[in-house]
Amino acid sequence: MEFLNDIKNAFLPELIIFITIILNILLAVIDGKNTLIKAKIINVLAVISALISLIFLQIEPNYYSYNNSFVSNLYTILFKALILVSFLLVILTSVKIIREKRKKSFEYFAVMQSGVLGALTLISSNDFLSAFVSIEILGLSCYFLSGFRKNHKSKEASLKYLLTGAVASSLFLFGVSYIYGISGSINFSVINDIYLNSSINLLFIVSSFFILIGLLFKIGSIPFNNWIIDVYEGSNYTICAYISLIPKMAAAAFISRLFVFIFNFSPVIQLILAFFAVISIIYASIGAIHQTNIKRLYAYSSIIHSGFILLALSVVNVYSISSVIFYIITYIFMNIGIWCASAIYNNEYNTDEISDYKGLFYKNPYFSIALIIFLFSLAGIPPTSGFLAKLYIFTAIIRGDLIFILLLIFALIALVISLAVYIKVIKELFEKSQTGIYIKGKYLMQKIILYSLALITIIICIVPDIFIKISQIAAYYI
Amino acid sequence: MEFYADNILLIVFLPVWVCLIIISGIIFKITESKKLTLLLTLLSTFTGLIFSLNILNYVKTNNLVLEKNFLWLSTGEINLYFGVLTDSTSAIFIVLLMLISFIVQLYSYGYMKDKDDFRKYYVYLNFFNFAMSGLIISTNIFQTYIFWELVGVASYLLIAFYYRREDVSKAAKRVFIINRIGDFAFLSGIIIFIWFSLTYLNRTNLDILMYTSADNTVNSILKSAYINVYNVFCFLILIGCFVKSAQFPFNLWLTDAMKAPSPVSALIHSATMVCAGIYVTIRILPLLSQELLNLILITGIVTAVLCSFIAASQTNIKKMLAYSTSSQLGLIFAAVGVQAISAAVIYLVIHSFTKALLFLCAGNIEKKYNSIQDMDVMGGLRKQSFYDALYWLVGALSLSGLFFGGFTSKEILINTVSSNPAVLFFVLLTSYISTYYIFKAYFRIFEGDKTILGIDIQKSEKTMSASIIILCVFVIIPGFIFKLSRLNLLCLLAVTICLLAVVHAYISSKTSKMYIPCILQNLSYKELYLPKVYDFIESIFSKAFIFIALIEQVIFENIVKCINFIIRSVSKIISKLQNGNIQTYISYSIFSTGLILFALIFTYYVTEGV
Amino acid sequence: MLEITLFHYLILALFLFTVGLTGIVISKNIIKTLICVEIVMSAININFIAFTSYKNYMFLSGMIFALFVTAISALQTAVGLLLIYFIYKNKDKVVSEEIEELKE
Repeated sequence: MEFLNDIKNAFLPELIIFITIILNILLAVIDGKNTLIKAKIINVLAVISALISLIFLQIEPNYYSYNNSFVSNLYTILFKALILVSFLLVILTSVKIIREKRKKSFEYFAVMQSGVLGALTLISSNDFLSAFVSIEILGLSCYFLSGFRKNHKSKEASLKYLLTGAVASSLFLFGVSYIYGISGSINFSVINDIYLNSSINLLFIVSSFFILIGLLFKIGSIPFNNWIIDVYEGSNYTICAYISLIPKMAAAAFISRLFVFIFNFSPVIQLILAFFAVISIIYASIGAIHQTNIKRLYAYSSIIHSGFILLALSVVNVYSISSVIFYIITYIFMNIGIWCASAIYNNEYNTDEISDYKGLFYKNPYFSIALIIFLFSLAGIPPTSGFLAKLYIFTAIIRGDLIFILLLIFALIALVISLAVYIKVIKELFEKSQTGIYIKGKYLMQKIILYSLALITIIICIVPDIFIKISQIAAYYI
Repeated sequence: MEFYADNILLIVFLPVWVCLIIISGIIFKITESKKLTLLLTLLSTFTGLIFSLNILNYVKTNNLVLEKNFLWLSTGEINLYFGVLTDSTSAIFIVLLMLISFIVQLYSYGYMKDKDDFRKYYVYLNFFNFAMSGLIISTNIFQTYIFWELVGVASYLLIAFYYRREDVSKAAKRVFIINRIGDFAFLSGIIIFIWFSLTYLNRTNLDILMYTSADNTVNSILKSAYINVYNVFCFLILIGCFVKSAQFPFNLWLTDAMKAPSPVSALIHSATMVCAGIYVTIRILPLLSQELLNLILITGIVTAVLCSFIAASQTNIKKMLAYSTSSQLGLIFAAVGVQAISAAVIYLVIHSFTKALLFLCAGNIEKKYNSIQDMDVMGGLRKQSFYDALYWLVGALSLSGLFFGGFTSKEILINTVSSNPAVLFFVLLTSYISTYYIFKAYFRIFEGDKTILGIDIQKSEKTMSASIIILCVFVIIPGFIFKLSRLNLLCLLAVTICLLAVVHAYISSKTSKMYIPCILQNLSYKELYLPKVYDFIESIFSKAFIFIALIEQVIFENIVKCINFIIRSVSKIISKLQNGNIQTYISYSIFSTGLILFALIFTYYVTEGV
Repeated sequence: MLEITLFHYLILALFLFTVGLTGIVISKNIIKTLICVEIVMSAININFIAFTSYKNYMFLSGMIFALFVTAISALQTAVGLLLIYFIYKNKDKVVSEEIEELKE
């Protein structure tokens, strides 16, 4: 009875996603004529109903369930909404492209849904066991998805992802085991109570360090950044959009909860996180200059964005967490935008190189303008929303200690260097090309999504008030 | 009635809509029709006119001040609003803008009919409409600043319309730069106000100087306590207003702006944009201390006298009219300086009509004489086109304050500034010189026997004449609203002085001599040597800039090259790190983890001393 | 005779962890890598169980955690073997030099 009660109050979206996974597998069995369209409709409906069911969750007090191992409050509800929105956009983008590459690909949706299930439970997990299981569910889905293409590169990318993920999980578990050993419980609230009044010792700090390192893998920053570049190159475009968003958002939510409950006893961990964040920003900014493959370029830019998110998370106060949430909101739109745009182009010509984007502006001007808007947003140029998000993060970091401000200066210098990277792509769009390739096909759904995302990116910059209020309220409820 | 007031934003955004339609027409090459462009533009302006007339009626009869604000951005400490302010002042200005806009748009059709960039011109005209109406309805000084800049942009676009000629583009650049000085002062004023409010007043949720609350009690208490900062802030904003309205030290740009087509000069530089300065001054009037009001008065009077003095000996029609604009605006500023707002606004409205009429006539004359603007070679035009002479005469009579609308407004002005005898003297002097130059121009151009051979005087275009006739009507009518009971001695004195000036002008035009000392004539003709001063300053700056550019070329470029080289080589190294071997990746991760772990343990032991 | 305390188990687990990590980094054959992943997971299991046995905590969360770790590492290995199968189909050899195609 309590089980059902918990589901009604806190886990409706997870239930819906779980049912959808089963439905997808059933569809695999049925294998009729229009399976893919049916699958698309079922999946889109499921995600929309999961979004709607978020309204019915109980908001006011923190709702603990399953023996305090899960929590549900406004913060988790907002993150779940963000994940479901981004998942919806990924599904809507991907259908025509999947249809043209593989005829029967129902497992695509099923595995994506299971990844989303893992992400949703990771956000609302309140102890290490549920966190570990969620991380593994999310990870396994992503390992599988990155190997979706039929060529050797895709399998290799997936294997690299898996091995790196295994190492990171093991480091994470190592830290968890020692924390369990010292404090006797794996629940956040209990650990928080234990350490609220007593002193901390070195073992606690070291094990928190290991936990953090394990999580940094998921969010994609130094020290575990090498898989990103290879895995993005080997996977599908739409799966890359998925992989670059869902684990990152879930891990960001989880890390901020960890910081509030466990890591706030030692400022050393904050410093280490800030240090890793800045190193990843600088590393990725400088490394991206040499790239000629557009997917690797996007991978480096994804590392830069993770760096900024982590830098803001390391200053732990309400203002910075709300800036992270706002950053993630804008990041969803611009990220899916660039992957969608490149997916459309790749579907036409099966090319990954930046130099093949030459002259696109003269043949498809509106497509190029949308791509330029997204690139400007990634770089942080006004009047796009990326600029506003970065500005918000900077003002949040300035309210921290002096050391964070020093690190911020390095991050800003690296940001300027990363600008060169995006301008390189834009420059290619404007050069006159000899080959004359351009987008010929009709991509109605994708183009609708593309242009609406571009519009949203600019509109968020003009009227940001609502989103900032939402992020502030959610951060307050952590 | 309230419908119009509620939908005042329609007036502002309708020109934007027309702009977008015309632009998409140009991009998509839908139609080449010029009449359609004109029709759309006229339609939007006419709608604006109807709306604004109704709003004026509504606001004036009920004596209302309507305000609607919309919070755009709010950091913790400052709130930025966008809003709509509708009271009698803004309603009058919008009616003025729409009316003159309508007439100029109608005139431009005939003037620009044979030019290629016709539709681009109308895009710019619509954009100007939008910017200026946005400026008039703004509720706070921040929104005013945004639209102020937009108006400056619109003015630059229109001045540089013939940008392929080098002198035009240089002049447009100079206009924009001098306007930038004013904008910079304006912005500094706003920033100082924000800084002042945040540090001294300790306010959170600061609204940036809403106009309707500019005179509340809090402000008056604070004004008395922190009078110096208020003076600085208001002084800077006044500098912005002076630059925009071409007052004395900054009136150089108005002559450069005359390189624009004549309807543009009529619209922007005589009737509407230069009124932006006066509008903002009226809005911040409650904040000004007595010293600043005196400053406005003195600047206005000085400008009025000096600029009319310079205009008296100019031979280029448009230059003369430009200096005339400066001097009349100086008179209006003087009226504002003695806090006679209604007199200033009435004079402004009548002057706008008059000056627009004169500029449009100048455009007519210019077209007749095939773009010659020098008065010395003209003459005897009355015999060939009687109507042009008639229109100019109407305008001249109104500008000098002898008859028609100018008489009414000048009479009101003189009566309100007459309390101070010195001011009264200068005002009468200005009106004497104004009458002198405008009638000298009339006699020069239209009377006499000189005719230039080989000029084919054709009939003016229909729209050009129609618009001038409409404007004439608006100039003539206010003359008959005059109440005879208000006639007093000062009026008669002013009228006598002006008639003397007409006689002086007649004699001057016949003998080509001005009958004033030679030095003064020389000073006046060379425009008080001001352009030379500006050129000198500009040359100093350009020499400094060349020097700095040299430094930049030698030093900074090499630094940039070095940084470029370093970053590119580091980038190559970093990409070589990705060698594809999974074990290498894992070892990097574990190695860096171990490194940081050792650093962590090491610092822990060092700081804890265990 | 030395008494076997918690400390010994922890050292054993630490040793096994290090062996496993080194194995992952060094081994050329991918299957060896997967086996070393399992060694690391076993080390972590030893950690959990040792803590649960030697300290009298209220809940036996450690043992339950160990069960979950075992199960999930089995899942990981399963997915890894699937991928190894595909690589074997393409390349006929499963060594780490064969999976170096995605590089600069």
